Amino acid sequence: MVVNTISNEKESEDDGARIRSAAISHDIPLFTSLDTVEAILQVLESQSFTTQSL
Amino acid sequence: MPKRTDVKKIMVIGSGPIIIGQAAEFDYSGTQACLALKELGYEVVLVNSNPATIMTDKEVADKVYIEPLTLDFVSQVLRKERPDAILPTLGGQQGLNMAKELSDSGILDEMKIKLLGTDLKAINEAEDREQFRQLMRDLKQPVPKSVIANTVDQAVAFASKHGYPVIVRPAFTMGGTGGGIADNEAQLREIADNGLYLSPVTQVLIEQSIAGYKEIEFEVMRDAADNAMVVCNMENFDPVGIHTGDSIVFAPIQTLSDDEVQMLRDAALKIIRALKIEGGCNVQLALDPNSMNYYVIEVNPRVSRSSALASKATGYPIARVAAKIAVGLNLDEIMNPVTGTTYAEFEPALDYVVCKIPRWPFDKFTKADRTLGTQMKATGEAMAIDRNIEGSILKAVRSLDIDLTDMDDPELANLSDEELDCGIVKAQDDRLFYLYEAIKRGYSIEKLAEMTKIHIFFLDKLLHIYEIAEALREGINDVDLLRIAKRNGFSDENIAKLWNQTADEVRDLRVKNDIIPVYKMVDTCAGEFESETPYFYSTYELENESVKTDQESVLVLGSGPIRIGQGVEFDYATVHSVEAIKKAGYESIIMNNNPETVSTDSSISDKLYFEPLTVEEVMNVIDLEKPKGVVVQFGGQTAINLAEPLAKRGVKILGTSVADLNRAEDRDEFDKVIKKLGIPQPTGGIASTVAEAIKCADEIGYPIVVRPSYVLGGRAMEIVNKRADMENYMRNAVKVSNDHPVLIDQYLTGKECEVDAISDGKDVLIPGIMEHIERAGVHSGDSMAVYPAQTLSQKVKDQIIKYTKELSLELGCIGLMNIQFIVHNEEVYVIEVNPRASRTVPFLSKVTGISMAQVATNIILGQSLAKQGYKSGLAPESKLIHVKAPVFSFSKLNDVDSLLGPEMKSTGEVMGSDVTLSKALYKSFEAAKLHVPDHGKILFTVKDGDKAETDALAKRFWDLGYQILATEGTAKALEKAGVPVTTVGKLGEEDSLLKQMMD
Repeated sequence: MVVNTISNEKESEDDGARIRSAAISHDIPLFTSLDTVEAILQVLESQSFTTQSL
Repeated sequence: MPKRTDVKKIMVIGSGPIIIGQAAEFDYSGTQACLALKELGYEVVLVNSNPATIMTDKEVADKVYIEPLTLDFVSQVLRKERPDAILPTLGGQQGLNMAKELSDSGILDEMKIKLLGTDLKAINEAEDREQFRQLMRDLKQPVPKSVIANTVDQAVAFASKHGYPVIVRPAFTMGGTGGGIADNEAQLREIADNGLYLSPVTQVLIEQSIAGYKEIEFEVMRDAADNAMVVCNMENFDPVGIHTGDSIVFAPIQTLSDDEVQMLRDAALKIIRALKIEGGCNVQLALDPNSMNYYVIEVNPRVSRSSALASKATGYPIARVAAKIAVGLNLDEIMNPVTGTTYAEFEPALDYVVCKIPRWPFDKFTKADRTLGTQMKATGEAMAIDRNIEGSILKAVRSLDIDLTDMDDPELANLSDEELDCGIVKAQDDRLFYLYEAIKRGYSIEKLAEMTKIHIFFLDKLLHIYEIAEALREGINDVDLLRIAKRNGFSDENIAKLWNQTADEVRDLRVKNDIIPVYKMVDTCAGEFESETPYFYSTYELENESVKTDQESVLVLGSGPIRIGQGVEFDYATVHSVEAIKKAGYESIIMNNNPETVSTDSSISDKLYFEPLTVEEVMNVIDLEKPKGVVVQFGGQTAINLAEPLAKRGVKILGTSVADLNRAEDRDEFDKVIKKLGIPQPTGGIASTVAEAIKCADEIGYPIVVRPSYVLGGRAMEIVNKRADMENYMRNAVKVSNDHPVLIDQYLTGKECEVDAISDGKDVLIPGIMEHIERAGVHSGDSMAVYPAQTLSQKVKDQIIKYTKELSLELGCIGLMNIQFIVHNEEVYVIEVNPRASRTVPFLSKVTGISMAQVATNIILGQSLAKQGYKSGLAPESKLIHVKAPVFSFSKLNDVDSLLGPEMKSTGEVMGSDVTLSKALYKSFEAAKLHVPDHGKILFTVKDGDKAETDALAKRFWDLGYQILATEGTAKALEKAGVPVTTVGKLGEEDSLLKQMMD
């Protein structure tokens, strides 16, 4: 899974676009908004148990 | 054979969300199929994930499930409904793949569920390259020399032996995704590598290139008794090498001799018989322009985009007949509903020419790679009918709803000859206009034929259009010339441009001289039999076949070709409006030009005019039909834009008045309205110099949203956080002047919400409030939306309801209106009002049970909300939670940045519904084919402003057992926050980085 929100910082903009396009061409789920990631987390958390060390 | 009686309940699988290569045509075919099966007395269960379709309306099937098209969910529906059979061949590639998956899983055997129509063995035979080649060899049907390669080296070995160029076609990918033509080894290695990766079976076909051959398509049908027939044949203007979905297509075939047509027809019928297809099938063939040699390119063993086009081109309902064949009926037992007197085995005949031109998304994706090849890129298409090629192609150009309304693109005049040549040889979406420009510059059509391999016959037609245009230029007000021009499809506007007049002056001259169009019927039989189809096209001939009836009529304008921002949702609303008009006792008349959709099925309305949506063409229909009025609010921006010019010509616009439409759409007018009502909106201003812009931004306070009218190198819209960035942006990214002002608005962070309201001028019904998942800054069409709203306080909801009522009443809304809000610090701000049906009408109609477009149409026709049994205010909210998620087609387009922002990028939508938000969200992700594995690696690369928020998110993923990867800057921030993270390289290393991810 790829989370990528790089947009307007000039030097990293190309990088952001390259990572995004690589993710798409390899069919890896890509998210460009943290709100969508939050929604995904909500789904994953509702489906799983919590494991925590003491 | 009579229909099957061992089957009582049938499940139909839909095609899911609209993506490039699989679009609205499957709403049309699926709807037809369901209705045909119901007509025969079967119980129909439908599964589809796409709420924006007519086929998922409750009335279309006995049971409708809007659920993800995945093995888990479809299996659950199967176990619950226990159908006797599944019909998979009408839901596109998605429907077929789903059926294969179900069959492989064993559930069909376990539950003794039959597959109707063409069986899976035949489908595999048509789709698996090796099996297909073997079958073609057995049938002695030529196929291009080819090899199936599972590695790049195998591909290169074939090409070294048989020579370049070669075509690469990956197996089992939609729309030919990942294919291409390679002229040399380096290109082949690159394309083959990508193709192998994209193919789910890691298989590509490397094929001897037959680029330049004529590309011919046959739509054929066969039944279980081995009756087979041709519904339609078509010829591509663009020779082999460009995906047929991206080609300009004519029906019937134009440049082949009868011998050639019969040879290819025989081949198509032989193939459909050998495959034992029971239903519809598409056969694509390539014919050598210089000999009788031909090759079979591809066979689609199901209804397809081409079959939708063929249905509309001939009037023959392919999907309806295919569904009946699937349940055992034969072609000689099925009535042709169009004539009502002939059987479905009767081959249609055309006494006109049909032209289809694809609609591409490059007006939205300005930086995308516009080159056309074996990968389809168009989102939609427009079709036009006339008695000659010139007329049909000129009408089709007008139907595209692009900046151009004729062949002459003034911008191309600035090109050098070299640039022009390049655009002609290397086809892009706009090659047609390059060809016309070349003709203008005196290129011979022989030379152009040599450069492009386009048949000289077609080029001669373009030359003819040019000759007429030149003659017009010399012969101002020459009535004979005017008549010739109209017979060849010239618009009044085009003629007016050549005469330096207005279109109205041309029209007056035309009408004075009785040069008015007649309407011909599309009757499937070229007038050979009596026919009653109310399906018409205009032409400038003598005999009019469309008779105005005594019944009072209402004209509904459709939304034209599907494009990003104006999708199938608007066709949905159009169809519903027509239903309501019919129920109210009026004659319903549709004008539209999209061959893919339900609205242009001639059985939907009382009359269908397949025409460009221009003022001239709409006025022509109005002059003949004299309707009570015109409904514009359901056909998207295309129809709304016609409201003012139509009203100026005395046409009654039904619903919200033109003056009120303007008050909602014009920025200054709207400002006045909102100030008068005292409704908060983000503060804003307009600047025409850099200094003014910076001063304005300072006054508003950062962050701000800047929307330039002229973009140099940046994005069309940008959110700017501080003054230094603003200065940099204004100096480098945009051009600002009096002609190109910049709009500056306060950027409010917060929740974005959206409502669709229905108003009768007194009461305002709000079917629901949708809350967006993504915060303001992402286009509403690209946001996930939740209904009912989950996190809004009662105070906020009350404000939304109050503002919606006030705005609807103040803006004189009669019918539908869409309003978008931002909730910032518990305060509601209005950001946008659209005085028409919006993209969310189908979604909201389905989840609230209120047929919004029908209720709105009833209001438009004079029935108040109260009379329809609705109260003012927010409708009661549903217990289930529904999520609408966008679906994108990025993998079909090169050089389109997938970063979401203020410009819309999605092509379709899905819906997930369940009892909790997280379950509904899960379904919507699954339906959108965004399957998130429950463990694995996540790569974070976020901008500085997002870093703090990312820490918490990454930590939660880590707690769930995911491994966190991040690029340098992001990793540093995560480390600081105490999240275990692996740093990965950045620039130029994305391949290794992705390999890491995929392990």
